[in-house]
Amino acid sequence: MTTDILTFTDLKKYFVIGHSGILKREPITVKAVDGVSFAVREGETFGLVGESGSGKSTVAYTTIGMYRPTAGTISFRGQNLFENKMRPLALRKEIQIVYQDPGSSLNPRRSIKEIIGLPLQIHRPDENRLEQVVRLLEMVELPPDYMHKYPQMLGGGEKQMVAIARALATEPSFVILDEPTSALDVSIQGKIINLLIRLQNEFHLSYLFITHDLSLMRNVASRVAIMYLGKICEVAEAAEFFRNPYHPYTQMLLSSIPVVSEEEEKFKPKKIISTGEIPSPVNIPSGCSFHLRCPRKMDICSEMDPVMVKVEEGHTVRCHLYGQSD
Amino acid sequence: MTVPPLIEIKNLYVHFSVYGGRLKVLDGVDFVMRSGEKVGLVGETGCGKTTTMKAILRVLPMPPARIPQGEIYFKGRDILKMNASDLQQVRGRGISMIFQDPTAALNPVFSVGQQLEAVIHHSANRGRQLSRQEIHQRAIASLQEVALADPERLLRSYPIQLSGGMRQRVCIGMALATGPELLIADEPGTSLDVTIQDQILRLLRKLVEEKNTSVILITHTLGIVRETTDRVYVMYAGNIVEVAATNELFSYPLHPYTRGLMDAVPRLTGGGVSDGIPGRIPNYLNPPPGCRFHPRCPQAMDICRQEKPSFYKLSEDHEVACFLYQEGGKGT
Repeated sequence: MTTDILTFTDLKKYFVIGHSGILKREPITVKAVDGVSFAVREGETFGLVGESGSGKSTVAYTTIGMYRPTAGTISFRGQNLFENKMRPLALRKEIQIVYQDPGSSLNPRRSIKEIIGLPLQIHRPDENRLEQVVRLLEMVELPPDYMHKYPQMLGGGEKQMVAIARALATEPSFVILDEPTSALDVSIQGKIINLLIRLQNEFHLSYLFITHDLSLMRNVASRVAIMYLGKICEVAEAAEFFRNPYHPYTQMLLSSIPVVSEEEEKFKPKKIISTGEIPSPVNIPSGCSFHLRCPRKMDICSEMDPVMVKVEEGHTVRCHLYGQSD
Repeated sequence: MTVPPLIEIKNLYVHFSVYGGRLKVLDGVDFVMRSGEKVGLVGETGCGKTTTMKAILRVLPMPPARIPQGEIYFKGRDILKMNASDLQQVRGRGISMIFQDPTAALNPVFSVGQQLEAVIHHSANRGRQLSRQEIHQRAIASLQEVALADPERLLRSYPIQLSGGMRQRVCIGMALATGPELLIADEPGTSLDVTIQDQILRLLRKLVEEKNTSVILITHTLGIVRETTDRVYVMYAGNIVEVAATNELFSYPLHPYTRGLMDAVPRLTGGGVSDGIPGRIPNYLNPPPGCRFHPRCPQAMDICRQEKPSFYKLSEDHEVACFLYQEGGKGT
């Protein structure tokens, strides 16, 4: 029986972006994350998929403590992450993140040694720092003499490896990967992904893998959740998910992927023509937020927001098409 | 008399002078397309795809860029030798381009209408002035063509008021407003979401079909090339390494680089991710001698380090620049 390492319970994060009304007293809010619940198990790769503006990065940033949630909680091995005003150091070291664009997440004025050394200095001050930097570089398959280089001297893939080494410096048990390869060429992507998989096996890491690339997701995640406008619309085991997508949005996403072979073409759901724009998160449509673009819209969809229903073991969907039963 | 090809690039070199030397970016590019074709150009970031296209439109900043050698023909006329007014005609009614990032391609301080109407105004036939009314009508028509609702209001709005998908539609409308014979689309969906990208590509395919426009599609997403084009050029470090009909290329990729690229794409059917191609694109200051791919090539031979491979024609619609496929080579 596997246990949950990180549990999201009805997580909400609203941002006030301005005020409206004559007296400018009514806040205009963006519901970036609006009631998200899921759990990541020990040692698994949990995939979070969504288009831009769906709130997937807000989930990540709330998890590492960059934001405090408006409502709801995130707990790590049963411990609420937002119990204290300041997150204790011992808890911070457990949850680390690798950002999307290593070009902007690494300080160009710091050498690689300093970049990887900073978390060591804070979290493991008693150890020999140089030794640890060399060990971390070896872990991500970079030669030790790279520590004297600066980020701009490295290629995109190498920079991302440094970012991974920095995330692992605190010996975390949970790492958030926020689109770790989307800024890289496909020829380098594979190396980074396989490195991440190897590190996961070696150190028994749990990953929250955020991406918009479903083909990649199919190959790395054990379970997948789809987000749309701040809400999760479907969660399932990865293989099951691609074999049998329920939610119309998921079907639309899957049928939109450009693929490179005939076998994949057969594997895709029947072409669903994607229509409409993604609504602005300031003006989320009433009822189900997807109903304006949905090809199988019913009357109820514009009135009532559906709830999560279980359609199969380990497969839940938030859509009025399913679970009309009492 | 034979009809000259729509675009023919012969042995094109482009160098950039920078601090510390000269970047030898394009290294003898050959490229031919007939009227009505949809051609893909694929390769990694920095392989010279956009440089090639900018050379066609002659919008490379010179200096630092220099074209020491090569010819580019548009319908039999050398673009590199044209005078300014002929070039203006080619850019307006001959060739249009859509850029990767519609946000950067539109000017934020002019309304959509001002920008679109300016394009239409300047693309009119020489000697024929369009009335303001006519220009306005054409602008509305071109927005309707790209399936944008309420064009009157849209013409008055500014790019910042539109979503990414709408901006890219405006750019497509603008590129097609002049009725070009060739449309160069540089990664038209990359900065957009998958479902929106799908919409944009579908729109683009429909429009070029209707107007019988020829297309060069630049991208590094192989799936998009497969779904959109008839023929593909694969580019690596300033060289074309393989040319083939799209189906042929996806069924039988030959060049080790093309194969590496194909293997690196994660499949929807699962099966893990391959390690990709080791190393990275060479430094253009001192590119490797011989075949520029040899330092990363799993099948490199001695000859690859010394000589640059020429094209070997394996069938009517498949050519590859690799010594594996020379007479009696390992690959044949």
